[in-house]
Amino acid sequence: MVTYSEGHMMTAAEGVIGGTSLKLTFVLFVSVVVVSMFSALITAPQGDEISDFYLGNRTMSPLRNGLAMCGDYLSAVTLLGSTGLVALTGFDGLLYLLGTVVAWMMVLLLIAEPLRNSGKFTLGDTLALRLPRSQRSVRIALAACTLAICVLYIVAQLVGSIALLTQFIGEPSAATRTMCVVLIGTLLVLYVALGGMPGATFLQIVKAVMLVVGVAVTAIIVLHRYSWNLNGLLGAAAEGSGMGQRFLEPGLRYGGSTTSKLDFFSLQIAIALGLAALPHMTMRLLAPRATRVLRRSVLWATGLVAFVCFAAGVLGLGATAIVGRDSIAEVDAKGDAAVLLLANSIGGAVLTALISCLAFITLMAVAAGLMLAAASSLAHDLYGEVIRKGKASQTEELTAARLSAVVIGVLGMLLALLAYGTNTANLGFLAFAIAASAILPTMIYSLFWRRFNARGALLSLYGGLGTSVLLMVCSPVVSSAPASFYPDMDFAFFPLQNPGIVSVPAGFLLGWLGTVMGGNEESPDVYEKFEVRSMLGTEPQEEEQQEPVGARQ
Amino acid sequence: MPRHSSSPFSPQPGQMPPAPAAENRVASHPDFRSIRGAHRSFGIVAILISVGGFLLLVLMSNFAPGVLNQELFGHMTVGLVGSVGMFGLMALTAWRYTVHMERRIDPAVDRLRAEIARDEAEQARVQQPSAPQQRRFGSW
Repeated sequence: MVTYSEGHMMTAAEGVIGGTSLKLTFVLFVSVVVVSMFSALITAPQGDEISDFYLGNRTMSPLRNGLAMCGDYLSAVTLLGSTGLVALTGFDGLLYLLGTVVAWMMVLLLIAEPLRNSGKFTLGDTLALRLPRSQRSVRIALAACTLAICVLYIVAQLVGSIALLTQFIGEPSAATRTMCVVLIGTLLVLYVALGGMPGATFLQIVKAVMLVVGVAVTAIIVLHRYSWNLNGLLGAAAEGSGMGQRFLEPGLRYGGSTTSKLDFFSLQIAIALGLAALPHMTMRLLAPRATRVLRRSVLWATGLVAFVCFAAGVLGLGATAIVGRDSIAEVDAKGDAAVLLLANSIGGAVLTALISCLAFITLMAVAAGLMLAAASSLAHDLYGEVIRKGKASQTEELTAARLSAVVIGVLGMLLALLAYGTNTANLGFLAFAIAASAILPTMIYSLFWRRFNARGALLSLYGGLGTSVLLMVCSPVVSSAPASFYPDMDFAFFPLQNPGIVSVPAGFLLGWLGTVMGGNEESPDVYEKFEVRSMLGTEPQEEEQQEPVGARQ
Repeated sequence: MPRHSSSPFSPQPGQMPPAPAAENRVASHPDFRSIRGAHRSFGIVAILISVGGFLLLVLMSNFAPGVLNQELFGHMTVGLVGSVGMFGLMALTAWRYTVHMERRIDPAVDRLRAEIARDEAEQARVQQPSAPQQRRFGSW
């Protein structure tokens, strides 16, 4: 999800950020990449143990797990996109940030522990345990959804990296764009194919620490400037926006029409429900060995996510107050330059370099998590369980996973280069809509509904995927509007840009419908066993937990 | 304690290997039913409060902005206070969740788990030959 993908619309010819911070950023970025690449190689799975590749070190402390979850969860959009949204639209932007935190609460309260108790490597394993008779078709459907989500999201991140580069050097030439995408994409493939989950985890932790420190330092400087008076900051922001108290009232983002209000509501639904069901998040939840470690990890992550989102709100208001809304909108119509401009004006070159390096690392870390999830889904669900019917050796599956990472990386890079210049923000939103309307219903139903069966799962997976994609194709994003892919054609019968408001209920409805239509019932034992497992977990894992910490490191 | 009636010594042809009977018996155990109920009802209420509160805020900002725009003090409006309040509400929910899990769920889970382990050990003693097949999830 990259709302700053339209950075190329920027007017400045030579970029916003000057020479010194460009050099500093480069040095910082290269050192972080070198350090994390080395540790990815060192911590990489040594043997052919497939579980090391999928889950990494399972005895990490709750704090480190929580940091990794927070790193997986918060993408560059929170850092740049949402803060820009706050800077430009005030209250509406704050609501958007709040949605990010609320979505995490869903993970904590509903999904984390049952999923961890009943899972193995991927979400497909949980579904296979729940619907053993039709596990192959369900795994195929799930892998299709996972791939669609991950590729869309990776493309959005890669295009975002070009947009970020634009902030430094101005409108990049075609060669620079290609180089940027190929460089970032190759790094991603190396992290994932060589490092597997341990490599991705290290990158996530580095990124999360940088993110927390970066936003905390900037927010402290902003608050200090207004002598820690929130009301003073709000007043200054209202003044800097040039529209007074109106800035702190809802309605700036989407104007007044009912269509645009529904569009905003639709996006909020997709975010609040979809973030919780993104494949790399569900995979991350499976890593801790014991349920109680997972609970403490998720609590840490809750605190960190809430803190970063709160600080991001302060940054957005601070940007409006200090830089001014007009200057932000002038540089980038979507406001994505807000944090960089703010850092430049209050912290000079050093803070700017820290924040921009952070933005690049954030892009890479999230994309690496997604790529790992997609590769695992391909290698474990499709290759291991469907094609080889569970008979593949661990070495074969590991090779398949590494190859899948390369394939997905190349696919993502090609699509990102093709998609450049179009309205890619919506690619990210589409990924959320698919997660919320295909994966979430299946996940919720299989965890909590006794009668749920394979037909329901297939209908809600394919139905949710199909509805979201179809509605997006038939929306103003693709045709009829000046900013769409095909501005000259008009087949946009769906008026909203975000399909969530229709596709999420459709996904749940289809899952229900498929189930009540019957057929392909599982024996009642299966659900009972699954239920016990999802409440109690498996006892062998608790035994293993007794072994001395560090035995597996 | 009810004895499980069907514990075949070997899986019948054409069927999945038999489930550990202990797990299916636990499913109807009163303790299990009560913690499952407690877990679900807490989860539903907590989700309704946090997600519902947020969606209410979004809906009101779209369709009843007048309510949110009332100024309380300085530049703080009802909407802004509500947004900051949501953070507090979520912190409260997360705290109540931990307390609930630790006091209400965890002890019962430990007890039931110990029961399953005891049953499985007993079963393994009774039927030595098929014992390894009973551990379906052993490798997980």
